[in-house]
Amino acid sequence: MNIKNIAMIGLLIAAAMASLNAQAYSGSEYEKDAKITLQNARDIALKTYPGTVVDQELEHKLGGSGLRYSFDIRAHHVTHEVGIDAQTGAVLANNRDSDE
Amino acid sequence: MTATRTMGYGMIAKLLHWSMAVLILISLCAIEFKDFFPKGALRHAVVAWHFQMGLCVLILIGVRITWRIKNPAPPIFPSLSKMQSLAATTAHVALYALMLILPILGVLTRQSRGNDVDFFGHVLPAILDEDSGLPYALKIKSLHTYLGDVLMWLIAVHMLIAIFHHMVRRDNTLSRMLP
Ligand code: HEM
Ligand code: HEM
Repeated sequence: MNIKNIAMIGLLIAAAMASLNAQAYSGSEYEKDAKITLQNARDIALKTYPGTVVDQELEHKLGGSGLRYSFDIRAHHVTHEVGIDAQTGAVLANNRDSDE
Repeated sequence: MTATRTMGYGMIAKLLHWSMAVLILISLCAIEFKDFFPKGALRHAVVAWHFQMGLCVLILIGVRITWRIKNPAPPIFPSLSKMQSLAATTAHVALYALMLILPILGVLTRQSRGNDVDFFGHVLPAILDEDSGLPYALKIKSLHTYLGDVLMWLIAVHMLIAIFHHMVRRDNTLSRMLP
């Protein structure tokens, strides 16, 4: 096996690892800094605005502790963006999604 | 006649390869960099570019796959080992599959959560309506995002390998595809 084959295999392994590195959900890499789990936060969000979660992310954003789960929840043809503090579980936002 | 001067890909194949590469790169940049734009009309427009370019890809990929089936790839000199050709073919099939599946999943992502898909001013008919799609909306969006990330990495490696062939292996792989 020559150096070119080895380089080729190296690149393919890099590709495979990169693919595996794709995220479970946006911001999941911050999960280790959060006291509240995704599941907990989602339960709180769904109590705040009952419906179906169509999007979820963990993001750094001004307000509360600065780290929040953000859920898009749809019910009766209206989507709300519900923000849950990832440290305290406080509801930071619950308003109509501005992207619509 | 010299053995190294062989034919490259045809005009149509090159046109499809490079135009779609540009469309996909614009689409990916739009969605990856959307957060740099302030919320509101501007960000909305940037995200719309993701959809429009993605839908152009969907239109072209049918032509491209049909064309490819009828027109074999020109040979590479010096030729590749069995392992290398197998790896290349696998990667290319994966690229084709993702170019087909991703825009469809993108459309389903929006329609399942009750958003219209607009193609240059025309609202596309719903393949999946909100009433039946809503329970799957999050799963579909996650799959679209995940496979989109996979495609992005595949493209990066695809480019690196193309450059590797050209600069290190010094074969005709890249020149066959250049305009
Ligand atoms: C969005 C980006 C791109 C996509 C989706 C893509 C996809 C593909 C696919 C599916 C093939 C296989 C053609 C066949 O069936 O024979 C191919 C071939 C090729 N692409 Fe790309 N490509 C992209 C960007 C690029 C870039 C940026 C480069 C150069 C740096 C490049 C260089 C090549 C070369 C040299 C070939 C010929 C490979 C061969 O025949 O073995 N591509 N591309
Ligand atoms: C070549 C085709 C496409 C590719 C490669 C692609 C790729 C991606 C990627 C990588 C993301 C995730 C961005 C992130 O990290 O957050 C994404 C998100 C998304 N894409 Fe696509 N996509 C394509 C076509 C489409 C089409 C045709 C539509 C809809 C008409 C669409 C709708 C969406 C939506 C709604 C999101 C989520 C945006 C958000 O709210 O965060 N995509 N896409």
